[in-house]
Amino acid sequence: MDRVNPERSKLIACAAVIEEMLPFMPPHMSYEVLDFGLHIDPKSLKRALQNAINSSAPDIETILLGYGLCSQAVVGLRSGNRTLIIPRVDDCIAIFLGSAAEYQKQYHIVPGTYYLTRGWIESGDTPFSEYDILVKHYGEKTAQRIINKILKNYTRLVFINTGNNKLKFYQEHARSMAERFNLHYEEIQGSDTMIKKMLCGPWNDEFVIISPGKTVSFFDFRKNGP
Amino acid sequence: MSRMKTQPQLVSAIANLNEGLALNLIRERLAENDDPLTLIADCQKGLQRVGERYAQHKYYLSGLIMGGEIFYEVMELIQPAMENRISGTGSGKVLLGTVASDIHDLGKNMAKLLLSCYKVTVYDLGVDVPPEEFLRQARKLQPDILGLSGLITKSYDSMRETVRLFREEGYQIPIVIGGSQLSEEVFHYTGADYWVNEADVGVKLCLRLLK
Repeated sequence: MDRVNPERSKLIACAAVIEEMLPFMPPHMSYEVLDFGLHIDPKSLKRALQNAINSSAPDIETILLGYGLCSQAVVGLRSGNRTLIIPRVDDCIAIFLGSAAEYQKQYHIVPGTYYLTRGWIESGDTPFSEYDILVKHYGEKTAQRIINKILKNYTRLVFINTGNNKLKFYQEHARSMAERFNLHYEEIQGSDTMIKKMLCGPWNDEFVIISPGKTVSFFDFRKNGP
Repeated sequence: MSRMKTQPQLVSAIANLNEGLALNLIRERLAENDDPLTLIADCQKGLQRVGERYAQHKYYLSGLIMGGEIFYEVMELIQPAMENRISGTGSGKVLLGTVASDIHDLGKNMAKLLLSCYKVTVYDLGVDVPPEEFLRQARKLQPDILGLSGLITKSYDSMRETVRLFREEGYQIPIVIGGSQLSEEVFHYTGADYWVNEADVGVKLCLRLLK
């Protein structure tokens, strides 16, 4: 498919990825950020995405979704009279790592990996951030019991470095969480490859392209995917 | 206290993640010879509310886990009553595991616990189980049902691969896939025979298949 026409395109992205996407946004492209917390409930996320698609300005022809399958929240979305472009990935970790193939590689190395990024740390919605709340609610012993259960089969914590002005803070946060919960800490350099391809095109088979009048299916993500 | 009173209390105690109260109510109702299956059903109603509160952002992930923890404790109390109630010996064999590339096992463990209550023999291979290992163990253990569990979307590819391998090798036992995010489309993608979103539904299905 051809390159993007920024004036007739709009990005709808999760709060977890927007900061990494903004630097590569072509001038005059509009965007909308959806709440990070929506990922907890795929049905709510689907509703919010459909609303954002439907309520886009009439002159928008192409909508870029800054999401992956995300617990299948994108499955069932209708394009209406626009074209939808979605990275053919399971979730945003692949977007940060630059490709679905790189994500797959990491999974093969250590399946029990917890990934942290700037966005995820900022959201405060990780088991690590929950720990202190748990202590307050249930006491130290029960908090430990719950966190052990959540992290039972995890052995590695990976911080994906996407570079930003508070980098040191995020690195330290991730490292201290790994130490505190007895996980092996690793830092992986993020990649902007997929973000650039998404925002500027042309879109190859790393992207799902949904023509006007069509609905997103799970199978769209498995044609050439992992 | 009568069951009429304790039933909503038990559902609320679990929904509110009040472990102490929930366990006390279970003890009371067991002492009154209440049907253990009714107790389990009440607990599941409570767990359903926990799930709803999680979806509404009233609980964090830890709320879900805590709900699961209470359920495990409840099951430990109920298990002897269940075993007395269900007569006979082993009524079938289920080979169970979380598929390759996935390490989540909350649903799998719940299914295992419930199946054990019905005296079904469960062989649990753990998490991140490669297709070849499922096949090796199936050859050795000769199960009646293969249960493949997975939460993340990557697990669907491993489920598909495992089903493919079993069929290629001529194994025709029913294959059930389980996971809270599964859908009809994913079910068709994997090529499995049955799919379930909840552990207790999976258990009912297995019991039906084992008849």
